[in-house]
Amino acid sequence: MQHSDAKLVERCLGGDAHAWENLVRLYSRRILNLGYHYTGRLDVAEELTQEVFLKVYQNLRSYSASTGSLQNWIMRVARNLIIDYYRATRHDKQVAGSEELEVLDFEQDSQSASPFENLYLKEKAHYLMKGLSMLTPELKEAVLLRDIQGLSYQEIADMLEIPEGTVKSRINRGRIELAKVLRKGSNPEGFAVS
Amino acid sequence: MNCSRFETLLSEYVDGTLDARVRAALEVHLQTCSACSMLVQEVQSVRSQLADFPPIEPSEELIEAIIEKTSGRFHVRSIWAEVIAPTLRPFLTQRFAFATLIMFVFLLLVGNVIGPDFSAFSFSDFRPSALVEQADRFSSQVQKKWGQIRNTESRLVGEVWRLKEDLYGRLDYHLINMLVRSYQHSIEEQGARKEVKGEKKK
Repeated sequence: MQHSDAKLVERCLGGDAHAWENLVRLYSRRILNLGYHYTGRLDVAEELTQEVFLKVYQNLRSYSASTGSLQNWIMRVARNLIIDYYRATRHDKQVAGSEELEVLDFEQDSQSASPFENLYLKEKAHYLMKGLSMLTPELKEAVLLRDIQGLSYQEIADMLEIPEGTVKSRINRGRIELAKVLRKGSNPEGFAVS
Repeated sequence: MNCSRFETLLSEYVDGTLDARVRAALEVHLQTCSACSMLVQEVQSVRSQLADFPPIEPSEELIEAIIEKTSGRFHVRSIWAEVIAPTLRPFLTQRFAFATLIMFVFLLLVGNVIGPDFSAFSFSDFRPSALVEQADRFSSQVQKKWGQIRNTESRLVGEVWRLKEDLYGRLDYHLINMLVRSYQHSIEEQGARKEVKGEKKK
């Protein structure tokens, strides 16, 4: 994997436009979703995604395969940018637990065609996002990266530059906290789907 | 194994990353502790709901914006942006605007004089049946004109032939005359020479 990462980066640095486009398409989904889950707003997530790739483009020379996978490196850049944004805007508006959370229309899955299912998805997404926003930033981040982004403990540890034990602890506390928050604020039967 | 210890290992239990011995100890605790059992169910539910969280797909516009912002490769190409606008742009500058306007007015006036008279048309002239009728009329006029042209052509060809014959005839006449005169002249000269020789002998 790291060999192919190095090759892709080499081609990008060599001015291969198609290689760069491939790289963008490969990681844009992950970055966009990370941004959305942190900020709760799609427009902000899209702007942040552009900023992340601009930074990646400008600093691609500093990537080295010996330090880890390209994905981890890009995620680290993304996370730092997103955290900076989050810290800058945290005092301006209360994103956590607010109605400003953007509820997206998840009508992207062609198999999920019925309006009821789409409404269910929207409500569920809003419910989860609201619950996540109740967590502290460290716990929220750990749960997002593990349960939504699907990263392993080691990958999260590399990305956040903290020990694996700390990652496990944060994920554990985050999940338990989230379960308690959702239990307090939900009607469990309302989300049962046959 | 107590609840506090169980809670610290809960996530790894749910993720299935514990070794067999520790996992077995937790399961023994679960059989006797309803609070921890409920917590396990809640955490499993949260984990599966988050895993099912629908991902957002980046739009093509976002991808293009990223590439344009970085490598600058993407550029929306259109005939208007690439060809027409750059061609027209100089004429729309302040410097040439007046000249452009004059040219436009001139073209309008010329078109008004020698172009089709649109005031003669009405909407009924553009009905399909009217258009077919006009096309037929136009076609028979064209055929008639072609006939006239062919007649004129044959007449002209005949005239040219006659002229050619006449000319050749005249040329032949003149040539023969010239030859005859030349022959007569040479005979007269020969006769004159013989007379001169005869006188000398005497």
